[in-house]
Amino acid sequence: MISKVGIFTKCGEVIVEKDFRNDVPFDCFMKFGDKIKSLKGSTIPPHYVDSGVRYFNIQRNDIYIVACSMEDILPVMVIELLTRLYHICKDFCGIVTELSIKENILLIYELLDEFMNEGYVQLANTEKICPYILSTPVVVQKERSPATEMSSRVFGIETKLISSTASDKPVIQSATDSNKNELYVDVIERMSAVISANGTVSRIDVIGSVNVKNFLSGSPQISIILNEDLVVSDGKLKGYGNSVQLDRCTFHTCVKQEDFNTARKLTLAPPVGEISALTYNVNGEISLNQPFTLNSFVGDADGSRDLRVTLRLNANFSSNKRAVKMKVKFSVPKSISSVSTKLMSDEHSSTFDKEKHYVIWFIKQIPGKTESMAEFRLNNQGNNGLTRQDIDPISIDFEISGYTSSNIQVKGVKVQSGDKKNIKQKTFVRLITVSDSYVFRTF
Amino acid sequence: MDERAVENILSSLSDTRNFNDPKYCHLCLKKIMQYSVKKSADMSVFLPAIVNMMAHSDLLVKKAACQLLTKISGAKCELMVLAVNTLLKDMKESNPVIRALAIRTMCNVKHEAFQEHCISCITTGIADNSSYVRRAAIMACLSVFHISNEQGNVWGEVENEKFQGSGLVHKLYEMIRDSDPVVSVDCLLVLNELLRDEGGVVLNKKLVGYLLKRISEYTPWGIAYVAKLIQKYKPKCEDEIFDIMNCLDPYLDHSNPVVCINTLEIFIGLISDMPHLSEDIFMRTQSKFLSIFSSGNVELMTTTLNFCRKYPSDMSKMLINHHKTLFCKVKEPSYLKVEKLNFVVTLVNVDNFKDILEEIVTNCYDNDTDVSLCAIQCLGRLVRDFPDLSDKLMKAFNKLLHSDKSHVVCNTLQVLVSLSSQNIKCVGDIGIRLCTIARDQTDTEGRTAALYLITSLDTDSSELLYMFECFIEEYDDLDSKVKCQLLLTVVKLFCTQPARYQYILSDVLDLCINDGVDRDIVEQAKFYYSVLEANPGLSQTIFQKDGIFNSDNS
Repeated sequence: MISKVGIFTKCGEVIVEKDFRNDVPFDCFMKFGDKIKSLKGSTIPPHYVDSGVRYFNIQRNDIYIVACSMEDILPVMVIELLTRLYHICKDFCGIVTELSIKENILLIYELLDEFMNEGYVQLANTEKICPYILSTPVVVQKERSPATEMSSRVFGIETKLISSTASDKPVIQSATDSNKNELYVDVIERMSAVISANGTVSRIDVIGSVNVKNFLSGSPQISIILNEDLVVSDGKLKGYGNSVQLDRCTFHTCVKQEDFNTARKLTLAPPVGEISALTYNVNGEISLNQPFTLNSFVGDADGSRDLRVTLRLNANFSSNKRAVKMKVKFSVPKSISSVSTKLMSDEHSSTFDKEKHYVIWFIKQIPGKTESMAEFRLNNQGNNGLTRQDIDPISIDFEISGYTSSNIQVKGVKVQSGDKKNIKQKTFVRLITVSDSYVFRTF
Repeated sequence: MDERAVENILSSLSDTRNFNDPKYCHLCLKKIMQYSVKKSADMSVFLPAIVNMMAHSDLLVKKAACQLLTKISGAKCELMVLAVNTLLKDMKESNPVIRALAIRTMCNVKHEAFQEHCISCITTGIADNSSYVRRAAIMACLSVFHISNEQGNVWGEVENEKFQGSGLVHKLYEMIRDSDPVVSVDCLLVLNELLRDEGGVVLNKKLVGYLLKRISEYTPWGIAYVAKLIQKYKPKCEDEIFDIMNCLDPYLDHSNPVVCINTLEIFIGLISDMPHLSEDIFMRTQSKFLSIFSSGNVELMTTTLNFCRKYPSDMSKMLINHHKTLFCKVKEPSYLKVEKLNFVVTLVNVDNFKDILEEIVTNCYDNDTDVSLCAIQCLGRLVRDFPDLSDKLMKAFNKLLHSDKSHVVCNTLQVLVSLSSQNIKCVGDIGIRLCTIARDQTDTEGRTAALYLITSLDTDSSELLYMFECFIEEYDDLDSKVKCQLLLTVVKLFCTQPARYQYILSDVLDLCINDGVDRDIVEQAKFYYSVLEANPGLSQTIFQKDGIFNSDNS
């Protein structure tokens, strides 16, 4: 069973250390810390064995959550357990970073005491742990630029802006803001795609989830109404058209599936804290919209051996939305010694990493229905001429709020609470699409 | 926090006004906690303050103080007796949280003064009205048990006798039927560990029946633990097997992956005599596995894939139509990409061959050495598994050798070495390229591999001679592994074309025999020389390209 649990910073410093069984060598955490320090850009595998001690770790934000054991236990179990622990910490502290752990250290030790005893999980549920926790969380705000603030629709009518970090807050609230009675519904889609040079899609898929973050008092039942024309094809052939076609759906245990099958709504009585009520998969270009298309033009520069690369990035989503944190990255051959660029505006920038041989083009934000362009001249020191194959593949990173590629929408959220009519509930709906692995091939 | 800060905290806590202010105490405890994880931290200076705070009226202060007390071990002083008295008083508090805390602390501090009270605390604790206290008491049995079994522990033997005489084991068996589900599971877990030497908790038909009837009450983790225990149980008749399977069927696609995997393993054990059912059972868990693979939790995906290796044929049958779920993503860490590639390559069939091949080839050029090596090894595996396609696949190796990323080239050579010479011939004309690689590569593995491969190709270009001259020139800077392979390669080539390589061989032998650093090389060179001298005809057969050293099964 688990002998020891701890939290490390990404510099290898221990910030939390809790021994449950006192049976592992005292220096095992030091060894793990040294391992982090000696990383140099590589990653630590989630599970490994070193001189009889089994190490398990997950990396979240800027911290590692680590467990050690002397026994041969199922790695999936420990990883799931650490993931659970992370989520509980997140529910209680709002966000889990080095700073918030340090600030909430008493709370974290309290949580660990309730979560586990003698290396066995006791309570792994925010709601059940809550009554035993006495500390008041210290909220640490994550810094974010205003550009990433997302628009939210309150009850679907008025529009109001709230900060994207608004939901990063603890489930236990201090006395001053106890009247906050909020519900956040986030639809997050992670896209991956491989698109060939001629624009045909060789692979495109989305992993989506409808996350509910519940801060409502009195655990009311809520229903989330989705698109009426939503179809779950589950392996059957798909039809063309505008309807939303999901491939596979998985529900959280508290969701009543019958309501989804008949009326396309998620009815649930969510526990306090964050859950993902629905996760779904969508495959293929029939049911997904491509947010971006990229055209690359590669040619010789004025008869020299240099290579001229022109990239044109088209944003295909509607003009009232915008993509932020755009990154376009391509690798270059070893023989490239320097890169000169021609960019459109101040919003754009680029870097060339000579050691690792790649070029990144950064764009702060792109509004929908626009085209962005960049020209690169790759200074070639090698003897051979270069072709477009040498810059393959081009990968892009993005984050678009208010947009889903599968077109899934939250049409409304209803909260059915029996009591306390005087406290107004606020519900916030957010749609976000982020890239997971979006690759354009150049040949 | 330095020594000054420590003193400041201690002196400020000795002021009663500060001490009675819970907020201030929280702040100090926070500092002490942060300090306690430092390597050099000496916690014993805080002992008086901590013992005082254990009797604090604020529960959070008490909790944190107890927490800190377990971190200070081996302190011999009167204060410990004071701490014990506080805990004994706490045992009679009306608040169950305080009672549980007292039991936990009492049994977790390694100190004589504490240990004599452990058993009596536990016996009171497990009879408590509150399930929270009962849980703490049950789990505390384990720490007492482990302390009493420790070698060289003075009080150990006395405690051990007391423990055995307390009848706790019997009591725990009774408490499996406790009304609180967590208590019930905890009893099983504790018993399983206490009785480890006797093979763990005894599961009979009646107990298993009871657990299965109650399983829906348990927490997900409780179910996972119980399922793990039930794996040991072997039902007597087929009816019982089907009863168990019916009860557990809903947990095959439970939202907690651990429940799902443990249940799956129970089923696998149960149906060991009915292999025809295995496909259906694995298909029941398919949706769960697919949702794990699309969960985005990289650590969970990696460990799950690792688990899948335990049942290779069943798992690949289950996931064969979902190979795309397992394709690598740009941002994923290298360990996950390696696991994914190793698994995807087992899914290959006629329909998905093209997709998977494209995936593998793309990853061959990955910037991470491990991922690239793994992808190239997968390609090598395809060559072996599909002999009729191997000619075409080998062409891909030619392209890989011409990559400008040196780790890709090096990895390719390493994989080529493991393939048969029949296959290597299909790569195409790579002789000249190999010479350049052998000359320019800085990596030892890559160089040795290139030198090795040169012997299995019919290359006779001037490039080869030039390459050897380069090697001879920089002989002193070579790694001993490279020297070794260089010697063998030259000997082999000499046996096929004596006239051409005569001078090269004499130079290399000369250098090796006079090697001042490596005795092995000297011995080896002398040995080759004597073999060549003794019987030129025989040595030709020994060293020739298709001789015993180079045959496919060597």
